[in-house]
Amino acid sequence: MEYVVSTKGLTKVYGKHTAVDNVSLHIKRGEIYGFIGRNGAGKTTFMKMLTGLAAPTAGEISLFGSTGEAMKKQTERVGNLIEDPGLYPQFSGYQNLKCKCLALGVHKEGYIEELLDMVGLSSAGKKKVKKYSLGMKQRLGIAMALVGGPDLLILDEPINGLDPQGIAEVRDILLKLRDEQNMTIMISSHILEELYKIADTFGIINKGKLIQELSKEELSAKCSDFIELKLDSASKACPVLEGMGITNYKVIGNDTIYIYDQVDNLGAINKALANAGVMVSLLNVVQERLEDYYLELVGGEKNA
Amino acid sequence: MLNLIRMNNYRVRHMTCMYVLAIIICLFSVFSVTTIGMSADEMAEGTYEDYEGMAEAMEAGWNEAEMEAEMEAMTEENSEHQIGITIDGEDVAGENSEAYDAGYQAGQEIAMNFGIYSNQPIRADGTITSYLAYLYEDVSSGILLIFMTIAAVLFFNREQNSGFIKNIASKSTSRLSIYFSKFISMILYLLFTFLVMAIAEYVTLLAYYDGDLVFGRDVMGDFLPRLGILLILHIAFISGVVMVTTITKSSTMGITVGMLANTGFSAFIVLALRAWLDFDLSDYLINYNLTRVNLDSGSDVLNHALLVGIITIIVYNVIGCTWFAKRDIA
Repeated sequence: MEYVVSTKGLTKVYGKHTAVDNVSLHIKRGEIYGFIGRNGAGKTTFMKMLTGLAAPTAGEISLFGSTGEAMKKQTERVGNLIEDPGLYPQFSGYQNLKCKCLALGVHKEGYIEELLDMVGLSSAGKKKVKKYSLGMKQRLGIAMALVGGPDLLILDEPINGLDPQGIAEVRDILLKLRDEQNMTIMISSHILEELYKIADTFGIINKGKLIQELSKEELSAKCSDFIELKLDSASKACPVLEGMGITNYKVIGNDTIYIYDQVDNLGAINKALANAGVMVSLLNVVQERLEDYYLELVGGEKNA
Repeated sequence: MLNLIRMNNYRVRHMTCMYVLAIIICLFSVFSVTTIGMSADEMAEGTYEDYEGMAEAMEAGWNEAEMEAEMEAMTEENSEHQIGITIDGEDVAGENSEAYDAGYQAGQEIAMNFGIYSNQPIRADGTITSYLAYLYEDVSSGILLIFMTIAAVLFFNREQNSGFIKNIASKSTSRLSIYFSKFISMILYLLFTFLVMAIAEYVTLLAYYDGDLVFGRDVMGDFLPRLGILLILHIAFISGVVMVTTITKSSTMGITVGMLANTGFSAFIVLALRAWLDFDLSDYLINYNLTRVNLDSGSDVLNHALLVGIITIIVYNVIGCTWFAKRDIA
């Protein structure tokens, strides 16, 4: 398996605070990797280490199969948008792109216009960035990350501040880059539903630690339908369920059980419980949201 | 690094504040010529009655010993009519004349050697010796340093403050290249502002003296190497300001330090070290060396100033680069 990015025990410590704690992560070539974590989880710090903006305290990074000093040369192939887009406010969008093109030695005719067009800013290229809306700045930031035709794109919450149309457009851009140019993309976001639509693999980070790394199929399986059962006594119901061959269930408190097996067999479950003298007050099929799954994983409270 | 220099030069060319500073330098040059010219006219008309001794000394051909004698004569004459400063009834000047003289000399030293001080080559008849001599004095006064402080601090810090640094620091480009490319662009801007000043002064002097202006080809042989040393000292000063800005990441700090250094603050440190540790730091300061390098300075002064400039450039840049290279980009 060819990994574009792999880290081994990557750690970053600021004074007494461990921002990233022993993270070992893998990103395959040509995939979109969704990096999920709450504020302060360590996503940005991790991405900064990947892009050379911060030095790791410990651990190893492999970029395109290269490590150590050889890896630094590979950062040429990485485009990034970390935190806010770094733009000169008194320059226009065109001038900002021009600066980066000059820095990277890119002199292709019409290249800047092409980038502006790709992110939907063709008409705003000559406008000063200080007059841009947040969404326009984000798009220009993506365009800046694309200068030089990188093979790996690292985007830290690129859809922040975008309206639904903008989000859809960015989604289309990223999918196009993956499908047409086989670009590998690492993207972090709080908008989990959006990430779910485009990412192929997910990494979930919390308090600096990588809790889980799973494919879209695995995540789908985990975010499956389940039966929500409210009854008078969960302890009386458990033997009944096990007698029916249901082993994949979770007891929540004394009066609620979530059943993940035999979701289509509502009637039989209800009948079995009633015969056992268990009073059922609610029997419902629920689709678990990605957000709920994530919050459960990181130990947050479920929204009502 | 060449690509980064191109990028930084593009930035300088498109930053409005750089042109604003250049225009201010131009206006300052015109103002300076006009003001000096007016003073020269008054001297020629003999309206500076109190400076008869100075006029005589200047006619003698800028003989420093004679000028001092005239100044002493004026001081002695004035001191007979001096109203002493009294504190609790004591005449401080009378009883503590040594302390008074020492303080006076220290004040003169601060004004002439550490602040911005220009000793224009004006004859008693109000004419200037030559354009090149005039230009030289303005450059050695350190006035350009004020503008370069502002330009360098804004230029260096804007990349950091805007976050644009993330776009280039993440590439395989070394941090040293990023730092030095900006430094080289500032050197080019310094040369540009020098040209602006030179052209503005030439045009204004030509107009003021109705075309009757001696260019100074006879001093060219002295002018060029000394100008080179002055520009190296300017570059050394910029290195220091940029180092402070890089370390503190603060434009306010960089400009404040630059302005204080330019306006004589370093003199207090020099005087304090002299008084407490009997150590004279002045020989190693940029501003002091700027004022010492004259058109008639000997090779010992020139070599010393050149060495101070080069070593300062190296030290400040090593510190600044190292700090920048090791720091995470926030």
